[in-house]
Amino acid sequence: MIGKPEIARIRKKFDQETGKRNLLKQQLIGYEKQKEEALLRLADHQKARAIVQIVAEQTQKKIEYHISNLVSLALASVFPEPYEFKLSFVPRRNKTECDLLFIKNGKENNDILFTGGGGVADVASFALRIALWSIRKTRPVIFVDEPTKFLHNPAYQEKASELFKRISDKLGVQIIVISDQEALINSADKVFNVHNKKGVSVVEEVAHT
Amino acid sequence: MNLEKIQKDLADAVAETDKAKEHLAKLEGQELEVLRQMQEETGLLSVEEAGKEILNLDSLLKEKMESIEKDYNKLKAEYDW
Repeated sequence: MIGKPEIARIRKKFDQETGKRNLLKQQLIGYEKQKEEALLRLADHQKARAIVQIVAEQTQKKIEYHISNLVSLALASVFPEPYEFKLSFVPRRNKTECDLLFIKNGKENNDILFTGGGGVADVASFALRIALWSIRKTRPVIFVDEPTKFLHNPAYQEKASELFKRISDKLGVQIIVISDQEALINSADKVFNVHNKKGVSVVEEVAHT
Repeated sequence: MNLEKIQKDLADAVAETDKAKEHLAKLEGQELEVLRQMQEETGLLSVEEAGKEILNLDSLLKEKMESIEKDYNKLKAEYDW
């Protein structure tokens, strides 16, 4: 036989559990609403990501074409049998990395610094700097330290000098070159000689035609 | 007649009290559930503990905001934007 106090206790317990259930129901409704909103946001984000991806791919292709073209042209203007230069964006370790490819007769040269005699890398790296400058358009001044150091053939040095001059004239960029190579010095608009005098660097303009 | 009315009033009062008790029990149930969830999520056992924790977090937040504002102004002055 269950007494009145026991019934009252059971009733109270029942009401408390009902209260808990009501609260959980309300919370569930709230969570379901949040889930719906989150799913809508997710769909928007997925659409936005797809758009960003398309734009990024197109931009990458444009950059690839722009830079590959410029560097290949620079190489062709110096060397008689030039390498074709290709920029290739490759996804690696969740990042996009950029490979620099030098191609001749359909074969890729992955070790241009050593097998290309250094001169090819010299011209390509200068052209890459110009390409980067032309994309970012920072101040129209470019400093290059011994840009044709590994270009030993005087004929190639002369062609490289012409290339610097043409780029400077066409793009309106001032190229300040540090070099001791005759071909580069002769093609410059202005020449300054820097020498050491009692431990102090002295800069003097050289009469130049 | 009067007695009937008194009986009815009493019955209404009892029904109302029962209803209030039921409501109170339901609210107690909700409170117990809220406290259970709070303990599960934050390890806090009572409303008092939660109040103290909120004050602590408020003060921590204030410190962080001041620090962020100070560093932001420093960067603003340094890079002149």
